[in-house]
Amino acid sequence: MAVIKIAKPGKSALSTDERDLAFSSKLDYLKEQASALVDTDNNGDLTITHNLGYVPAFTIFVADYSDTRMWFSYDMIGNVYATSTQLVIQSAMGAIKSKVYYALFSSQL
Amino acid sequence: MAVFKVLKEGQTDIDSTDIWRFAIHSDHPNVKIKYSGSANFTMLAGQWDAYYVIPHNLGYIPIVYGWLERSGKIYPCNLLTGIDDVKYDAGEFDICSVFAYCSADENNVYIGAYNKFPVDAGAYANYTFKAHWRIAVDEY
Repeated sequence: MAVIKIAKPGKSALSTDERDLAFSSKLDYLKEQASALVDTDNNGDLTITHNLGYVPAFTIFVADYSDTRMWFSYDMIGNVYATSTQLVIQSAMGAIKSKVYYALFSSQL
Repeated sequence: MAVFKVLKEGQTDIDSTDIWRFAIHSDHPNVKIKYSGSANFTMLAGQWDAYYVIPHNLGYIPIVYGWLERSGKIYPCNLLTGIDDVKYDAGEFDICSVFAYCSADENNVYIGAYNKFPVDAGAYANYTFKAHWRIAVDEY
């Protein structure tokens, strides 16, 4: 099968070191299926229904609703998990109203 | 050097300097996933720490994404992510609650569960988890 490779600037697409590539069709990528910037309720809770039919790889970032200068790669106090139908966020930022950015990927866990 | 660009759906300006508008942009490489997988492991009663080892043998520390599954819920591997059905609380100094973690070195990736309370309780039952991972070609 034909392979599409794109080299990073200054590198060769013929390199055998895959780190030199910006893109290769032989490798996989975390492709966004859904993403959004949303608000939790006043307790830092939010349930997002995705209905993808599988549990997706996901990532999430949170910030204080009233101060979005600092974002955290994940909530340091609350909890988050995904199921085959939902992304559930609990007690974000210590159970306060929060801003949440999430991305669900097409990659099935 | 020529630049290869593919716009995201709905975007129209191929000359945009907003990189987020692109699905692929050769000047801004994607994180390329080399290995994916899942496996079960068990934290035995009394253990503080249990983990699954995934050999990658890349010779450098790769970017890695890890998740931990328990009872149909999948948690990201972050320092204080509590696994909400693995709890035992019989008092201030008799608590068991685990978090999910993921780490890597030049040869392996480790996805595990760790009792986050430094007390002498340990885990009070056997707990089975499922580790999920995506290991990139790219390094930190």
